[in-house]
Amino acid sequence: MTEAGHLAAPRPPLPRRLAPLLLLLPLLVPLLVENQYYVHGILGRILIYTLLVASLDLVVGYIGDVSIGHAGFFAIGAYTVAVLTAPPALNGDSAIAFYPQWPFLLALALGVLLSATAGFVLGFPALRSSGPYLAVITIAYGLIIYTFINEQEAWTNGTKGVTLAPLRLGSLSFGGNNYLFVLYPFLVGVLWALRNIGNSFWGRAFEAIKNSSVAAACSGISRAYYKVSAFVLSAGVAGLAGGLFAQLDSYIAPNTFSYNLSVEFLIALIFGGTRSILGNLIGVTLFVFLPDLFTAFADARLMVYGVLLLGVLFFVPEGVAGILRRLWGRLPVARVDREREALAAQASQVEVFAHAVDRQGEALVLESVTMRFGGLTAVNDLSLIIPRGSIRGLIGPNGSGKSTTVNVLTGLYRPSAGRITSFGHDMGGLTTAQRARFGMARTFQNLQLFHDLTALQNVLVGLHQSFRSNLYQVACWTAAAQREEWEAKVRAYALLRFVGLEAQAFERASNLSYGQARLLEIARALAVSPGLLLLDEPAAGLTSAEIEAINAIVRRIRDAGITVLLIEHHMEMVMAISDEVTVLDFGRKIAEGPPGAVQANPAVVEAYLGKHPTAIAVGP
Amino acid sequence: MQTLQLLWAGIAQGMIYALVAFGYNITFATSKILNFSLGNVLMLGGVVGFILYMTRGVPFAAALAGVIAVGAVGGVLVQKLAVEPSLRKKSQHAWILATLAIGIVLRNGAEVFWSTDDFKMRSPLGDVPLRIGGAGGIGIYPQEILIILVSLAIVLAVETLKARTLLGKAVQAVSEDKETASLMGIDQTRVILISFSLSAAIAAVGGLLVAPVTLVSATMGTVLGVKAYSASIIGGLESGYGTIAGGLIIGLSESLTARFVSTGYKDIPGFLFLIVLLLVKPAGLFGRQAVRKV
Amino acid sequence: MLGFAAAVLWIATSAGGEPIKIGVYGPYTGGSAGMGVSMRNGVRLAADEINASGGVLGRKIELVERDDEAKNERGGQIMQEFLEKEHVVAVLGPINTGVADAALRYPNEKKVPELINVSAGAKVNELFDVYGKENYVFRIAAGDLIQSEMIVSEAVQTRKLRKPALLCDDTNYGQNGRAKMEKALEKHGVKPVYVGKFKIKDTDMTAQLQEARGAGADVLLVYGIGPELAAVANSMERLGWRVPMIGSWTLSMSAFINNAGANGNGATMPQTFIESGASTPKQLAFLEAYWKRFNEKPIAVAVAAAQGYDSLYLIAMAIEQAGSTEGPKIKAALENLLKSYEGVTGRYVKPFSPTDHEAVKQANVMMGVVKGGMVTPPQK
Repeated sequence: MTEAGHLAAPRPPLPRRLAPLLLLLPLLVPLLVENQYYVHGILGRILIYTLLVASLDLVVGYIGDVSIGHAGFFAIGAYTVAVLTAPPALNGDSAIAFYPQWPFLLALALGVLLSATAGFVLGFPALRSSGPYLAVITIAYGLIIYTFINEQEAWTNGTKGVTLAPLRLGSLSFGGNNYLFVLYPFLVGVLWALRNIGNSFWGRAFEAIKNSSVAAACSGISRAYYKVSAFVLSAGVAGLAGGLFAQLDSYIAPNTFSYNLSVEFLIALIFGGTRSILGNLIGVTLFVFLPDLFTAFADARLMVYGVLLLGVLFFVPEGVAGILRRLWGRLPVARVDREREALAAQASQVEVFAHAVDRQGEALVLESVTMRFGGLTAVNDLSLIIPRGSIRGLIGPNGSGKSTTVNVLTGLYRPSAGRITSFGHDMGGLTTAQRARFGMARTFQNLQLFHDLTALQNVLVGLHQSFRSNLYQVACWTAAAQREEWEAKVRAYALLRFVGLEAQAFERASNLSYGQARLLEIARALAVSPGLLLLDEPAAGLTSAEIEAINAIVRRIRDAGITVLLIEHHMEMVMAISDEVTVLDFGRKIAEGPPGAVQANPAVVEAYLGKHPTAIAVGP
Repeated sequence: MQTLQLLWAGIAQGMIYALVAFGYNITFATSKILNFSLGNVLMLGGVVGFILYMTRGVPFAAALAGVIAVGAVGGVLVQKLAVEPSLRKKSQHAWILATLAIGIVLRNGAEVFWSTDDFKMRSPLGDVPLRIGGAGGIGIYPQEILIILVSLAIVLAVETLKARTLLGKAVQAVSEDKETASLMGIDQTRVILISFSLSAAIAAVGGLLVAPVTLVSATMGTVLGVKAYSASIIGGLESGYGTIAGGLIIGLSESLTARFVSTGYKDIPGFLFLIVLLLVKPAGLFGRQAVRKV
Repeated sequence: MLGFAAAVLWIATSAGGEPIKIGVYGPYTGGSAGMGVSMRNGVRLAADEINASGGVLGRKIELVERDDEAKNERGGQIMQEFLEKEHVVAVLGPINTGVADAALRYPNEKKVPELINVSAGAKVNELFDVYGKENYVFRIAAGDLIQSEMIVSEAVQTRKLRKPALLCDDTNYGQNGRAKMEKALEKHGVKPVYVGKFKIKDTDMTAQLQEARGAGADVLLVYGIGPELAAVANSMERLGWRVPMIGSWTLSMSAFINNAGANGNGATMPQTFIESGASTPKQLAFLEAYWKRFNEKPIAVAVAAAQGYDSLYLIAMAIEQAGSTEGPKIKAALENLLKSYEGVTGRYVKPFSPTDHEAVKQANVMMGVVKGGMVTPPQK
């Protein structure tokens, strides 16, 4: 971005910048507290399980897919470390042929790699299935891994398990309480990286896919890439947790990594609340302390636990984190205000349509496009040309194929016949996300906002393609990544200002009014830097004042050089701002031309009103 | 001969999976929720049946009625305590936790209030296997015949009711589009309640049916519940008859793999089949994939 | 005056002083709970009796009970809680081998004795190789080494059956038993004609039995727990094929006997205690007390209850002898018990030594036979 010099994120006040130092405090615990039960047994366990639950959160909280098979990734990490580092001396009478006795960190790295690969493999079914179908696939997957570990004695010693020696790195011993010095840095590092990813365009991409994968694709987000990546990341972190777990008791056996364990972690995650590291921690802590807390109930412990879970859910379905968010909700206002101020100030330095993409050729050329659904032909041999920089209206009675056409254009449906070219590029074979990269953006007839995200974040998703940072930079939150994020925020804010939603920037999309939601979709579509903007009934359900506002916006968009295809039922609007109008009926084009000519066309009148037409009175 | 024995065992086992899977499908149809507690509701049926039939000596028919009643009430409780609050608050995942939690409460409750041990329940049809093909032939437990027949009968009855009666149409309407259905005057809460109640009663009956062939214990439902998910998904969550196909596939693959490959790996072919099937047919064998309108 | 007050104080605090905490862990919920609860009942009974007669060193015994749910990692966590938080002086239990193996590091590191009272597969004497003399794990139960020897010996020597089929569950316990039986068979120069396994919760073993029958097996050697072993017996009946069944002590569980019914008759297994064969005053008293207090006749898992009971008495005896609750002293006392102990599971004279921590020797163990719905002692 050429404005780089002038744009800078507001600096948080000093106390806040020093806050991360507090993270060092827990390292004092192993030094000050002797008691192994609390430090090694309880705290160590909490750290490892939190890592695992955080990995599960990536899939469940961010992508929105239920996984009940994470014990499998946990197992792969644990067994890789165990088998590669265990000494034969402690494993007499074992079925394993050879003990490589690798260094711990190397084995851990391999464990992460192997479980990440397993996550990659799971990614493919995850692309095809969702909801309960995918949940059962994850169960099956986890159980397959478990069975192999249990059966392949030559690799894992089967049910007898593997015993490890207490951890030594170089000449330092990390057994007992000292193990926390190994665990804690891993935990903090990984959780910090995950938090950065969650707050970045990656996290937004995950949530966009969860809220509306169609709109996400139209913003240039490849569902396949991000979904599989989420699984790979999640599995990798789970494998790391597993490798660390192997050394906790220095003994692992297959029956630990059962379906029940996956269920228990899922419960901990949902109870604590998704998309919240604090929530993850709380859920895990209850789970680890559970037997301790409820010894008074002796054998009825689990029943009390179940009732407790139900109780919390009854009042706060978002989990404990939900309770915290409500309490905390008022606190970070200072930070939001600071950000808002800086954005408002800097947004005027940014040109909303600064990208002036040099695009050649006609904005859109359809050649004999046909779309059939079984026996129904929704679009029938449609040909049209939209020249660059114009506004084309597309009208027709209900069911005439207007929305279908837009869906075909953006790649949601593959046409049964015909060719689509935009700015000289053949769109055939391109996915929706790819078409976004070629300059095609759209809004939706039935709103497809990302309701869990704020208005600003919705537009940021539209800006997804402008982000160039790689995953490593994002995870480490390098200066480059931070700069890129801020510049995108400023641009997003400017777009919101353009459509008049500046005041709602930090409002959740689900809280917006209907009219505001429509405007937000336009802002988000503009963020894609389109050459061609497809507006699918943007005025539906709006008041005349709101429609006027949209008219003005559309005109300004056209003036900036963007071609607009406008589908609408509001005749005044279409006729008022279109340069040309195309009319469809039963999937066929029945008229095309300047608004006045089309209005007077008898075929058009008949299509709308039937065989006994009266004049359509259209006026400003 | 030997293979026939295996096939028979696989079928009998598979029909139980199918029955529980059918229960999952019923509640999924109306609430889009997979009721994770259903396996333990099956256990509840088995335990209550045991207490009535064996401990108290109540005649079997009365025990059956008792089990159905307990199941139906249990289903209502699950819906009211766990499902409704989760759905009402529009939470994404709360229902998972809720149904899992209820399953935990049921299991531990059985352990605390009843017993931690395993018990044998007599079959009302006798426990002596019928021998077919003389000595060295195959043995068939009369209870297994009962399992297969009753399971089929239940699926048939419910599916017919769904297709022929007004209530059945209401159920279908709610499963297609809740809002519109309620606009049409269908009380969607009541429909969902009925579906949970029915599915729980069916699972409870399943528990009573399977008890004489396996053992009654507080943990008898857990493994069964998980296998039944597979049966449900393989058949397709939208298809009632599909559960029979799903259940049989799992039951038979287990039985045959145990014999011809290895007992340790007997679950694997079923799982692999599930994963591969869903790659090719994401809605299961008989499920319908809706075209999404945007 | 001061001296007198001090003396009174000293006596007051040591007599009727702080209770002696003993940790008891096992599965009290979940699949193996039957065994865990029986074991715990036996320990509770012993604790009450000991406390009623004055306690140990004038102090009451306080049991700290924890449920490991048969999960290995719970074993490690519970052991740490026992040793670091509750500061127990000794630990009793568990039932499951994996749990014991996951936890064994801690009693050895902290030097607190653990007396395993049911788990037959947990490592005990093997630990001398790792911890040398500082091995704090003991056992009062028929270890799998003894059991597998006796099972094989019964089949091959006593009954002259030389074509055994091995059928064991796929847990640590079952597979450990299988391995030991295979070794024992080797010593007798016999090879199994079939080796198979089954999973927990399996109810139909016809597939495995068909193969065994096809291989010409004349005896079935099994390792597993009650419910699944019952399924094996029932599956034999379903197939219409019956061969003798000899196996692990768990064939005495009521979960096997009740569920196998008539099909269980003839099953033979090593036992340290047989309820129906109780003859000594100690055994009869134990049974009376147990039946009365827990209202359970017959006892769900009599062997677990009896061993649990005896395990606490042995520990109490060791503490008395050591005159202290320090771990190393209790260990030394256990390894050199001066008094003999007339227990429910047998008469123990110097059951442990500094190089052998297995109290139960082959001579203490007899083969029980299931007959008419209960375990009967061997014919005299």
